[in-house]
Amino acid sequence: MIWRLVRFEYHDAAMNMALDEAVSNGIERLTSPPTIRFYGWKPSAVSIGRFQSLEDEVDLDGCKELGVEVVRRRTGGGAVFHDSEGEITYSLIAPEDLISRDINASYQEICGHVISALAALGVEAHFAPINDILVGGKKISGSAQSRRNSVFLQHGTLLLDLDTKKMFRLLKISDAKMAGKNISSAEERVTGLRAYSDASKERVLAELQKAFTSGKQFSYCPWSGTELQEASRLVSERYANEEWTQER
Amino acid sequence: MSTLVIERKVKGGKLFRLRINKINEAISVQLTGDFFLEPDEAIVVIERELADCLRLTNRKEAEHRLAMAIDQAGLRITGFEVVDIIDALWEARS
Repeated sequence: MIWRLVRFEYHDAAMNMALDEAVSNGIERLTSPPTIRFYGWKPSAVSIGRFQSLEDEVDLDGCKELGVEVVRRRTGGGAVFHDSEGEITYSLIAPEDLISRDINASYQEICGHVISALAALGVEAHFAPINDILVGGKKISGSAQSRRNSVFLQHGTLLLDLDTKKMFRLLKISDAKMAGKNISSAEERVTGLRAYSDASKERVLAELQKAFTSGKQFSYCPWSGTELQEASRLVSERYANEEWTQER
Repeated sequence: MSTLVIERKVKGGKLFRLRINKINEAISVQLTGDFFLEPDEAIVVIERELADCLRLTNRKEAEHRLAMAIDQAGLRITGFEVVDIIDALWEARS
């Protein structure tokens, strides 16, 4: 099995989510290879989980004012602020039979790649079930999975530079979510790689690519025309469609 | 129209909300939160069953019905258990 590695690229929020789904559909139809991609969000965006209430989770006025896009993901999980310069996002998309059927084991396996990359940068990180990675007890990476039509997708973020002021202006964190955490604010719960390493973004990307492809045969390949066409369709039909974004 | 919202953080840290809307005699339930559920479009199965369960008086029966509906629809849920949802629903009933 030869994996495709897609070099880091920026897209807007709708296109980023549409590309993940287009590849998933391609894998289902046996026209796309298992794919690992690293990407950024331009402009910055908030993505919310498939089942989250938009109004409960996001300060929409704040997003509008700051030019931050909002997209609803196809995967579950929580709301994430994707700062253009402050994080790297990854997606791993593959036939489901290449990945552990056990949900916790599969999160641990793929989050393990991020943990290995951080270790190579001299940063000790730990997996925190179900879907987080912590450094010094603070969240540095979150992820979300879906398994549809025998296709596995996990996407996740690695925080680099944190603009917590902006992040927590745009994300509404309920008191219930903070309950039981031994901290006074959500800001204290997250961290970025810059607090522990001065490695360049290029170096971080290189370590991530090395960790994610370890033990796999892979080649660098661009998107196919069919994938780009399908992604464009998904942008207009789903991810940039207000009906989808405001569904809940 | 009246709306009641029950919010719960469950073991493992996930959070869900039940939003119960009543228009005249018609009741609908919306389930939102940062949990995982597949296939995603089948969340309506849970929401419909929860609305039906509100008419029940026996909590065990509600748990059983919801578990059956989830099983029959082949839903895979990560982040909460049937008992968590029924707990919240029973709080709403009270």
